[in-house]
Amino acid sequence: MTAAPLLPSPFSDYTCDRACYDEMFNRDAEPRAHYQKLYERLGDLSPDELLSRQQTADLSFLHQGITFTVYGNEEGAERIFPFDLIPRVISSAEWKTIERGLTQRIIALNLFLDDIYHEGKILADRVVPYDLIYSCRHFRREMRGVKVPHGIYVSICGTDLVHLNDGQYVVLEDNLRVPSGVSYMLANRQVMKRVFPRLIADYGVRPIDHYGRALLGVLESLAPPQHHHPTMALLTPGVYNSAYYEHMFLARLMGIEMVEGRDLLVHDNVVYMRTTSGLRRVDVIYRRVDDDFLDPLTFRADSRLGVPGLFNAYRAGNIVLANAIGTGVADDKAVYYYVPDIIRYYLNEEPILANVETFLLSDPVQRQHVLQHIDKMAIKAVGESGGYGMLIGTHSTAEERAKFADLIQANPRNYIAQPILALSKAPCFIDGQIESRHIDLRPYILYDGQAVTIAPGGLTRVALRRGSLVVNSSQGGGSKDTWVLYD
Amino acid sequence: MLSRVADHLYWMSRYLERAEHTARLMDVHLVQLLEQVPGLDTEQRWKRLLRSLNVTQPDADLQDIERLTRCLTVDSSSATSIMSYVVVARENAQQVREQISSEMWMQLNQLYLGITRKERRTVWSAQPYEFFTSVKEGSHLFQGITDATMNHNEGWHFIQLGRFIERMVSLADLVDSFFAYSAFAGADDYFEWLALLKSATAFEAYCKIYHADLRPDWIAEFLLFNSEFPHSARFCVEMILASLNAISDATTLHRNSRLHRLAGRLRSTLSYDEIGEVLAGDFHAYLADLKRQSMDIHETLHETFVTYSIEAALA
Repeated sequence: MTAAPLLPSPFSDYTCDRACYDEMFNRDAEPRAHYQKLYERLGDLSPDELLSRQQTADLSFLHQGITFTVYGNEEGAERIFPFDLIPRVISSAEWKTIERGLTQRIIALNLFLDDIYHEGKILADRVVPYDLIYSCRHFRREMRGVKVPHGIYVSICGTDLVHLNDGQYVVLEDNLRVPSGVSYMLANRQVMKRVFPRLIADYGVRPIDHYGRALLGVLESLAPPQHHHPTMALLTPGVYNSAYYEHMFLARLMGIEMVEGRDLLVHDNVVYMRTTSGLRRVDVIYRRVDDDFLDPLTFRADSRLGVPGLFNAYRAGNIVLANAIGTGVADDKAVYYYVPDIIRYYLNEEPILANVETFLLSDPVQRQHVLQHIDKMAIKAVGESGGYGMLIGTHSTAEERAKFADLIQANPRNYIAQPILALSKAPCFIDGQIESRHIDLRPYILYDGQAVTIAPGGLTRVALRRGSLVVNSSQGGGSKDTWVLYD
Repeated sequence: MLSRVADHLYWMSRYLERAEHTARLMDVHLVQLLEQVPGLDTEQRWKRLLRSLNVTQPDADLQDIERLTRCLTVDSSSATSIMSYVVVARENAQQVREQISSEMWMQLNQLYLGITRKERRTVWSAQPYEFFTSVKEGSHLFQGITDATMNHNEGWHFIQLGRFIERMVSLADLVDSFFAYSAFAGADDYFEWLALLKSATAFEAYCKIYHADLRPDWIAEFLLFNSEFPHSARFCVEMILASLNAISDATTLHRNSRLHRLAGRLRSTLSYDEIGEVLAGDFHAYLADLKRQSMDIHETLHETFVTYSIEAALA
């Protein structure tokens, strides 16, 4: 860390870390143009005023029950998802690039999924290796030749971006199965409107509140055309799922039923829900249950969350699932390595957003390189998400590194390696003062086969522990509101 | 609406009503003990209270006021405490949060947070009345918010059914226990009848009709047959029938179903019976029959809307 220039109050404890991109300050420790107003406003507020706003925000989350459950703790077992008061601001130019890049990416990934579950041209042309796809844990053989509406596999996507020191946004990973967190994006904005109303108005922040309507529109567009008033439902694993709040939030936002597996049944390949007026047919399911648990007759037999016979109804075309089954193959971290090639192959364009440099450990040369420099690498299991199955070389013990080296040797296909990234830093209000913390960005992308809709901004996740690079909520992460500005 | 949702709304409402009812009875009961009004002794009062709440005696001596109070109020390990009722009501609401309005959820959540955050020991030693007031007001506020912010649709009617079936059943137990213990009070029983009326929030409403003269037959008539008082049995059955009709219109249920016949018969009983005849007969058996009829409505409601067989529904 290089020596930090001194900043005026309330930033006197703030360190401008030259090793990574600082969202608010440029290299001369001057506020960037799109942060200028926020910088001034924060200068006007005393720490006590900031603290009282933080408390208002926290109380609002608590009363709305925007909480997650802490297990093994009898008293007050619910905690709020930590919220940081200071918004992250994205200029309209930056956002345009992100938007174009994400649009290009989701279109290409959908073409890719349609291809590998049908002709497999990209495999025959040797752009992506066969064995990589067929050895993927999330590849669903059962989906070969199954037609999905408009050929759309991924209609709801959340892609993780990081902002690097040279000012570029790069894609860290795609979440193409059941991405979560969008409710926090919406709730954060609701709260910010209450605690910083004037600032939002002065700034010209693009609204995000139409997300629910857009999501409903996507689900409607997937319904069979002969159904003028399709019955739609959100399938949740139930109240014990950590994202339960989000499920109920979205169902209410869209005005559709929220169902659990036990509310549904399949008869003659048609899906029904059990209502007070008898059984009612369901046409579209926004499912928040993983492939593995959807149907105990086809996938994991021990699942109690799913609906027996659902897959047959799906294959018969009697029910639409969003996202489709088998999309996980495209967010496998080893397949991720090929996404730039996938974009070039289907769209004949150069990728707008770059990937993070990635080493495939099934390749002997790359594996050798990674094993020699394992202390400077992040090692990730290809099929995992949420910060599980990871090794951060710089923050690991020799024992952990040896364990991962053995795991890699035993099953090289199951791991990839990336250099440890310098996530950008942004000002956060921590313990009564403003300090800098690492952040990332997860925008939410919707695709109905015609148009791509991206809510301006997304969820900015914050690694609240000083120096930590891990933003996942299960590991001490929080979030903050994200403002995309008008031109 | 989903059968499971109807079920959760119904139980949410029943448990909240039970929490409010328990808070009110405890409040009246503890005031009686503190003022040491003549009539029953302490042990008899506790027995009457437990009987009117239809709960078995906790593992505590009937002289141990503090322990008994804790078991019925803040002890979450006791299934019959106010705390447990609020927790279960909230758990049911949690299951259907997208069906109720955010305002309703926030109110129920605040009620829950308010009573769970309280230092447990202080409930008895410092401010039991504040605790009871917060539960009663919390429940009233929830009902008001429900009426003002939720569509008065099928779901709202299941909430109504939960409230009024619970109220009817608990009223039958309450009246039964006070009449059963009235013999022990002897001639000086004014304070006991006063306690009965206050336990049903009925004292002021009663006085507006019968004046401050407390007579057991008038009290029984008022609590059972008055059509305007919201805690009377008659009022409850009218509300139950109205909600059943609304649910029929929203679903495929015929208005001549067994459910309607059960509720209609109970209404006839409460509309046309004479208090003199009822008191001259076996009053305990009469109240037990009211309670049984209410339970029949509850069970048939479940069979009709929640636990019906899939084979029958597909046929």
